[in-house]
Amino acid sequence: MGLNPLSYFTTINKNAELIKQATKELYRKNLELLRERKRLDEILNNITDGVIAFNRMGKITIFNTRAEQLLGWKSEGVLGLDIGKVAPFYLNGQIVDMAKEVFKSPMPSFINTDNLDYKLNVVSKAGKEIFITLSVNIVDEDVLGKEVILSFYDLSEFKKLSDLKTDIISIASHELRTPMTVVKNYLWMLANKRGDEKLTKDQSGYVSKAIQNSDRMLSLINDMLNVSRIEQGKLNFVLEQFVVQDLVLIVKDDMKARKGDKKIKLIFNVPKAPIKMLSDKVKFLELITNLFTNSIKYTNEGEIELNIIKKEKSIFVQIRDTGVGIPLSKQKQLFEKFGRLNSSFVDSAQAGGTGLGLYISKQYVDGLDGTIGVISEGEQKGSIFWFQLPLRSTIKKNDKV
Amino acid sequence: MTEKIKTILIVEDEKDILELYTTILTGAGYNVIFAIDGEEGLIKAKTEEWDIMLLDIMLPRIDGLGVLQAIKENLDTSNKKIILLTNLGRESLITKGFEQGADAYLMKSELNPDQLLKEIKKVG
Repeated sequence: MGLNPLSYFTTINKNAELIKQATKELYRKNLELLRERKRLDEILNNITDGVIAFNRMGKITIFNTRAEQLLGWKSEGVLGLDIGKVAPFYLNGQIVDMAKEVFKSPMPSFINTDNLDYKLNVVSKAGKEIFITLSVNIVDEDVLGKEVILSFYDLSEFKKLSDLKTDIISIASHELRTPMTVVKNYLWMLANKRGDEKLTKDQSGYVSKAIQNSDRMLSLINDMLNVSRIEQGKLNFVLEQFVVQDLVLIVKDDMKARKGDKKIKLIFNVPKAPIKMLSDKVKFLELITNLFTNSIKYTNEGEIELNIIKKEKSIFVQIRDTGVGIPLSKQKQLFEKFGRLNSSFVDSAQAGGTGLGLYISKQYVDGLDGTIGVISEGEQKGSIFWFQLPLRSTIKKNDKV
Repeated sequence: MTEKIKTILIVEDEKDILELYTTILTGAGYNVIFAIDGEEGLIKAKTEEWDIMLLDIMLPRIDGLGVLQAIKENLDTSNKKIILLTNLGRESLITKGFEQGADAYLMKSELNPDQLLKEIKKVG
């Protein structure tokens, strides 16, 4: 009849063979998967970024070796725990709820940015603050739902180098001021000899050139020192009472010397009644001097006019020149670091200086709660630089030393 | 009737600056005495007659603000003036100096001889 025990046996055997093959295949595939998984794990645990992943609920799903090293937690111990508890992030000192922030649209600007002005820290298990930069990617999988992959990089070494650089600049610049003080004063005494001791015409010329360049050196030193302090957040102000007209007298003398041979008429429109201010005297003088010096630099002939207007609660200072002017397209970037007219460094070198003057000026004005700006109709149309400051400064005392 | 000659006590550790200021001030008719560090400054402040002190903020051993504090605590400075000298621009130190009773401050690198004399005259 067809029920042949042998054929059953054959069929079973064939199926068993198939099952054996399938099982071998499964086993092989499984090994492959495990190998692949192991390979990915190796990569994940050897990169220099800390990688933490968490799900929609903020519970940690991945915690790589670097994260373990930086934060002091063991991966096995943190899986399933809250991201906020294990890796608290702080932006400028304020705590950030990372589980919420990453789902905002658009993504907050302190994430996935090159900008190091965002002071982003993560705090380790031991309470140590680590300065980092952060990247975030959100993986959206049908079955597993959203998973957030955070990768962060420890910037401590970089920050140490950056701070060291700033410190060196500060120390060097400060040390340079002492010999510069001596040089500046003795040259002045040479140039201002009276009576029988007067210099010959040639000698006068030599001394004049020496003074111009020692002033230039001092400017450079001051720029470097100021910028490095601004970078460190150490820019502070000293408030004292002073009379604006006293400072204008100093500017008058300085600018007469600075314009040298240039055929520029200097005009000073200052009210007769003394204007008393409670503000940072040294910085106020620096502001006027800086803007005026710029005008001299960029004006070949014509005039430069200083206008001071006292308003009810503020003082308005304006310096108008008949110089090269500023194209409208370049006006916005002027007050940024190195936001000079010529973008070429070589061109800038001809004009002298560091290109930091306006940036520093803006920092001063901002710090004193004032405003600063420029008006120019374009190239060769001259410019008007202006700033406005409160007559009585109300800045809070800053205790940073 | 001639005006009394004022005495200026300069406390400054940089030799060249001390010499420079002595030249400028004696040239302008002041009587000048000096000290090259904080301790000497304090001693001279107590033992000598002076009207105006030019006090460098950055001094070896006792620093400028320490000297200022000691002087204010131990001496009658009601008819004297103390001017802080600095090249640092460390505003927090200067503000502290004012709080401790300094009358003015000068940035050494920013002043030529004329301006130095004008500033000193303004104070006292």
